[in-house]
Amino acid sequence: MGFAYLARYYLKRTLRHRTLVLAGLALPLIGGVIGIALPGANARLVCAWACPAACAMLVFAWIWLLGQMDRVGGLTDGIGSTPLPGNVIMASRVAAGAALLAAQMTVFTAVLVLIH
Amino acid sequence: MIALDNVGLRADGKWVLWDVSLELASGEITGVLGRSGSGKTALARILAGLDEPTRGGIVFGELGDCDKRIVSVALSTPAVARELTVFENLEMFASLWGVSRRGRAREISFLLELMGLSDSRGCRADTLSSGALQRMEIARALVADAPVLVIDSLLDTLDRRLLEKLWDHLLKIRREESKCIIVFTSRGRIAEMCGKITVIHRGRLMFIGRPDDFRRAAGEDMVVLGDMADPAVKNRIGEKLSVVVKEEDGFLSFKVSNGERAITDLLAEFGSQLNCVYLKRPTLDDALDVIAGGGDGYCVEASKEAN
Repeated sequence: MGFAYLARYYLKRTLRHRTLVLAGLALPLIGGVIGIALPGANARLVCAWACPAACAMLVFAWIWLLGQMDRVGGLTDGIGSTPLPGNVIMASRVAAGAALLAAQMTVFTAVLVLIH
Repeated sequence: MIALDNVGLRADGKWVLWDVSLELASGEITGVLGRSGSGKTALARILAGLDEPTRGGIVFGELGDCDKRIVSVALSTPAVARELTVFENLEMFASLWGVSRRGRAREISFLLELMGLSDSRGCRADTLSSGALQRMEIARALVADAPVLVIDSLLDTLDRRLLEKLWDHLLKIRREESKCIIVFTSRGRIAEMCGKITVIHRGRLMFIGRPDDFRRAAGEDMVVLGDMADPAVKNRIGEKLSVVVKEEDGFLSFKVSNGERAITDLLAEFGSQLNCVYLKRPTLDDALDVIAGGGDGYCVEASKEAN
């Protein structure tokens, strides 16, 4: 249960950063529009790979940054002193990142379906 | 319940802790007194399972070596998620410690009230003052349902009223839940409230025992008598109590090991001739100064006395 709680709180914390949320939503939106607007099947194929890759990089950069901020701020020690094992803490962070990435991919797919 | 056996910690090429052997029982409040840089935080982190000792080890009694699961720690650097509100922070830690959903809100509300944070429950942690963050850190440690509670230097900055309120709560949980509470402090007045103290200086344990016994390291009590009706009484006091009475600026004073008892004897014998009696007792801070000045010399004396 601790895993799910912690992942939920990582998500909650991320959603409190409005600029990041806007950037996270804008990236698949713009990527989807460019993918459709670009002429040629090859360009579209490149965009279909590049946009999810950029989203993944953004999400995991954020999760890594969150981890560094927690380390400097002392939260890592606080969570580390709870009964949760270290690998569960790490897994919950990855799970939160995966959830954010899934949300971005939903936006990306929705743009492709709606405009195409 | 917890036994530290020759624990040592080496960091950046030097020993931060050396040969720390200590037993901590449940149902007891132990104060760890030491100046800044004496190794208190290093010891607190080892107890919380955040750092591994370079040498020696810790045995957690009947609970085995599952150290991280039984020690709740309030660190001197508050561990807060700055994006979350005060309530959400405490709720997060309560859920990570497995506190039941039903009791969680009630317990958090109680702790917020206790720490004077009720008005800030909906405020984001990054808007709080450093004092409020420290109080929140104490609440965070208290919300955990752990048999061992470690508070690292956070009581030093609390105001008297809040400290008394919190101390009453600590006494209550010690009694009712038989918790083992370890309070790290650099203030003598806080260590004085603990039943047992451990004094740490430059990473070494210098004393383990009762605060009163440690206080004696700073010297004897001084009894001061002022406004004497009959100056001739000076010699009679010296004879009666077998002390050397000094006279300075119109005041008589003498040193004894137990000032309270000396005053009782004085009042019984010379009550009608005394207008003003004052007991000047060395504090734990004075005793700490003696250690800091005396260095290892005191270590031997204190250990002999403790044994």
